[in-house]
Amino acid sequence: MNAPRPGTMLGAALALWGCASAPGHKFHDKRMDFSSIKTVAVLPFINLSRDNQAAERVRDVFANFLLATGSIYVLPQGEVARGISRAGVANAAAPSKEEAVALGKALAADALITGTVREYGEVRSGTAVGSAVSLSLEMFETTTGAVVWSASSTKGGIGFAERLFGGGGAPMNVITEDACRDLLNKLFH
Amino acid sequence: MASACAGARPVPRRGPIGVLPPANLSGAAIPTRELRETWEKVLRQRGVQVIDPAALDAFMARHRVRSTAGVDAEVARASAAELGIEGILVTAVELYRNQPPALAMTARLVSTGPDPAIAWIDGESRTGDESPGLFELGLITDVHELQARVMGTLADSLRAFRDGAAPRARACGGGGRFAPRTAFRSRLLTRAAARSVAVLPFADETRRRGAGEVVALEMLRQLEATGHFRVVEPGVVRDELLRYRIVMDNGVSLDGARVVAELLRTDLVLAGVVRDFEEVGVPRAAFTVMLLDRASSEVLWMASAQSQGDDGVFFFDAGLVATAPALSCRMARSALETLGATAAR
Repeated sequence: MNAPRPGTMLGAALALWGCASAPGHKFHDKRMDFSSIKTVAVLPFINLSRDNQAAERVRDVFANFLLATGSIYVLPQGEVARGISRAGVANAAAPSKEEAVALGKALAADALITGTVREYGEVRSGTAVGSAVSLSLEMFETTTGAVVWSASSTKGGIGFAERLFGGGGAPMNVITEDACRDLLNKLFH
Repeated sequence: MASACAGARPVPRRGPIGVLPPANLSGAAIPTRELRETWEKVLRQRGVQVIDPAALDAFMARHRVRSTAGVDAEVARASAAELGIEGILVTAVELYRNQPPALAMTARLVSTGPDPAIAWIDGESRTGDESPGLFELGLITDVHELQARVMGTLADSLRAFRDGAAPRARACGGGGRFAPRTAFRSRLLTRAAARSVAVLPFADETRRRGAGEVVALEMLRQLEATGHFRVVEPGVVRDELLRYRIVMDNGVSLDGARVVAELLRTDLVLAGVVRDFEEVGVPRAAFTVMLLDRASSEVLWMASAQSQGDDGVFFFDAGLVATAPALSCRMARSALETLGATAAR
């Protein structure tokens, strides 16, 4: 049996490292013309973390980042709340196809963004402590109610520096901003 | 109705003024009577003509004035007619602590008559241990001494304004270290003329009672300091919100903003949410603020800020911001710089 060549070994190691860094998944509907999306409503996020305010915090950061790009107009949260109430959406964090269409009409939005905060806060591994955020987002196109974009991102956690020096890692807000920036990169590229 | 459409603002410079009891935004109990007496005494020492507090109390009882955090149109009109005063001084205590002593106050002079308007606004905050100096000679351990210093600074500022030697509002020291994390400015936003703004009460998502009001007040102060906006007196805004039973639990909607802007006849509505406001240890604050346009029903500007008092501080606490209200003020000023409204110091 031939021994594996060094190049192959390096390739395998890089592939494994790539898996470990958890880049998150991404889905773009190839039939969708994303340039037609001018107005977006960011709906309340589902919170699966232990922090009661995590969903609202992450939603606020993401909505601000999206608006700050200047490419898309993001509706104010109060306006979104009014639209949800007017359209009679039972679970705004996970709207059905029909509800997404109705909500789009009520808000005059081209797309809706829903999200799930899977992890938010402190994580521990042995004596090492760090902060981590993990979230996934979905974009619904409001003409048909179909999902046209989906992506997830995980940032923070316990790295080499935290294990070696301690210190608790970067602040939550910085990590949340990293994750939101990553998701915006996945939306626009 | 609001005074937003009024042209030049009436400037109470020489006549007597009434001093409302301080509104408590500190989130804790404060010695209201003592603070009011000290405040009036300090003002009189600076040559400000203050009417008898008993007369003002009787007026407040007669007109059932319950909120001392602002002046509505009815109170402004009636006080001019019945008390003969040309202004009402509204004071808010944003932080009060006995040991170690700490005090943060904002005061604004609201003109009386048919169109109440903010004539002057300023704020000051100090903690006893913020500048200990060599051998701790600068340490202040007596809360009364601290009160005298804070109130003295504010009274000097009011006196200077009434003498025509100081501007209507003073900008906080800002600096890049308190710049907002994200900001958006619409192309629809122009600076063609001074525009009228109604500042709505900020939604408060913190555990600190009154944090929303403190940040909204600091934002109002810095908006005034820019000189580009005519801010509607918060008492007038509050009165209209109560009269038309406008509740904004989940943040401001475009319809809500439009209704408020129509009622107050303002061009813009400023709303926000406070997510963090911590005073224990190193102060920190986080808020998001947005400016909605009545004409286009769109968000014209949005900024999200999060800072703490020791941001950019490396050696010997030089540059440390010791109180959360002072931090909010600096953050507000830095946020407004992204609006293109740089305040002149």
